[in-house]
Amino acid sequence: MEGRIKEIFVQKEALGYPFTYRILERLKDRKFHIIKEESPFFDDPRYKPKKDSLYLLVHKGSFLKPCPGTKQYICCRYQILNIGINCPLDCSYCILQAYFNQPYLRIFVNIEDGLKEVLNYIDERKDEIFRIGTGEFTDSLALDPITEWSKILIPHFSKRKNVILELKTKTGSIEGAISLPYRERIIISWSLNSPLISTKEEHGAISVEKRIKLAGICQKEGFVVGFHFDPLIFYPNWKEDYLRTIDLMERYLDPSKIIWISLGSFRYMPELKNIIIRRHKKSVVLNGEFIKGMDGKMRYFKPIRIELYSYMYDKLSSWYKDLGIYLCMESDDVWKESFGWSPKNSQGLKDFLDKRVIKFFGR
Amino acid sequence: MIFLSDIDVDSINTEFTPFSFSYGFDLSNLTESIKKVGLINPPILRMQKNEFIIVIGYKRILALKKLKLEKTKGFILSEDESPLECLLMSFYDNLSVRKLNEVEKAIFLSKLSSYIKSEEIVERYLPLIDLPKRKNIYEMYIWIESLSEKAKKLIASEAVSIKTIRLMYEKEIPLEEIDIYIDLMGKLSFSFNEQIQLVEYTNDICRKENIKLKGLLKKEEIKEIIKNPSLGKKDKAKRLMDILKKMNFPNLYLAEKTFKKMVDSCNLPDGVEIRVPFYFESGYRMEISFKNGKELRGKLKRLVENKELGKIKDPWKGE
Repeated sequence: MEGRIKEIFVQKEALGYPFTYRILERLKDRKFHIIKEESPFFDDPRYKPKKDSLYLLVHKGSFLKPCPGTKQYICCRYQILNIGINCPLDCSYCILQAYFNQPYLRIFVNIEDGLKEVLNYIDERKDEIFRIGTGEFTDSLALDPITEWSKILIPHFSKRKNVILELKTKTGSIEGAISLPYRERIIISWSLNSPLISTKEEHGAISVEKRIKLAGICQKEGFVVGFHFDPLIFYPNWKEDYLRTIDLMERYLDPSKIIWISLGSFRYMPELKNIIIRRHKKSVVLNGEFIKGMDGKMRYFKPIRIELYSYMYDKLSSWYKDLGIYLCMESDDVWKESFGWSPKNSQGLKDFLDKRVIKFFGR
Repeated sequence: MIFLSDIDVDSINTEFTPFSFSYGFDLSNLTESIKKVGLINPPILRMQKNEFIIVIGYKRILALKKLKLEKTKGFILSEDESPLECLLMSFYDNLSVRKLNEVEKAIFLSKLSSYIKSEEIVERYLPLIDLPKRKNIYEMYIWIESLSEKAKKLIASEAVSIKTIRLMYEKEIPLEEIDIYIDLMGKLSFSFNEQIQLVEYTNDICRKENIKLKGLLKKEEIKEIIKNPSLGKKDKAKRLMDILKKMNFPNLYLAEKTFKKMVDSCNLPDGVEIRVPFYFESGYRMEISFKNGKELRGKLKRLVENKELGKIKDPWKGE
């Protein structure tokens, strides 16, 4: 992945952080420029990715943010550790394409300072369980060979009792994490899809089979793993295709070491549609019956979502009963229709997942 | 330098008009006015290669020619005035008396782009014509200039909304397909919302079925509606939208019809309605209108006794 970066732009203020120099050292053969401003905004909503440009910036806000769920649907109350924005992959359905005005890779160099604040916050709330991930605004591990985020983050989270750190990826950059002596409270997760969707839509990602094989390696190395079937795409033959992925899971994985599997059907902000049409002419992700959901995002018409979820739930559960399967941003009735039960509300889902954390890592 | 002079109307070029951007206008009022009181404001012209080029007053000259008047007074600008100054003179003159229509904005911006960098146009001139300072907006108006005359006429007359045109631009719909849309929008009568839906639905269907717009409109059920002589323009548009919705949202369409049938079979009392939430995303709602408690009790009693009500369910669920 680091081979794709051609230019580095360093915010003047970022020169005060050792993290900046470590990255520059690792990419010493690349051109770099010092910039005064925070990061330029491109006045062009026709998103053109600039994945060959890496910006090293000082993040001004809080590093820890609750997942931007909405009241209308049940949210798991995940916390996002905001270490960077955008990633070297180019998935056709990626929401980050809608943030057209800053289409380049951004890394926050004051991560070590930010991390101290985050850890203090966690330590002051010992009774609460924090499920924290870095894979919402970027891929957690795609840039790890350059950033060594895993080496910075894992030791701190692994020794705390009220937190788990989930590193979510579609890549094979697990060496950094595996080389460390820490396994406790670290979850390595892969986004999964059908092999067809992965090949057609997840540009730059490794194959589904490789992801699952690597997850098996991580399990053997002592890691707890997680999976996210998100976005599930409805298309002709989707059942057979998703079953192929589940078959691969059965072949390579120990289901008792899977902490959770989330399911989420494709949803998108309305403004993303034309970007996908323009940028990914052969994409099939928009070929469904999309309606505007209660949160203003486009999502499949309810019976289609129920069909997707109930099929996946049945097939996964028939492999292993206790996989911690949950839905991302769905309503109580869709939960009941698809799974036969519901956590009722966001607190209920948080409780369900926190119990999985306790089951796998204790308190 | 500028001076007033008597000019032969024939010596004024109305074909080459680098400083005019009037579009989609009607000359009848102006010709009537000139007939009655003569030309009150003389045009401003610029001498160029033995003929006069119009700087300000394009419509007035057209009216004079239409009335076959041979002579007019006109202000002559010296040749020192640069083309940009002439264009801006025309622009500010127009701006002081009226708003430009969307095509006129496009023509003006396109002409201005020959003299000024796009960044400056975006920053200085877009706000003057009520457009946001955004490069993509500027680029869209330059693109509007490249549309067919038929399209531009419908845009200028506001028969096609600028939002619809923007959607076509954002979807990068090819020019030949835009002409098909424009033709359809001219033949049938769509509301502005329907125009947007028409583009969205047809674009989605064509993408899903991997066909061109032309191919979609050749489908028998669509052709029948468009050609049906017994339907008015509005009815044709409504029926076409209904078919496109059915093709684009087959499950939703069926669910809405099935649910309506279920509700109809309940024979609800007058003033009682069951409302479907948007796209069935949340729960159903019943609304009861009543004048007093007695009437309410009566309606509630009838509802409780109504066995058909107990059969209402999500329309996609089987028996």
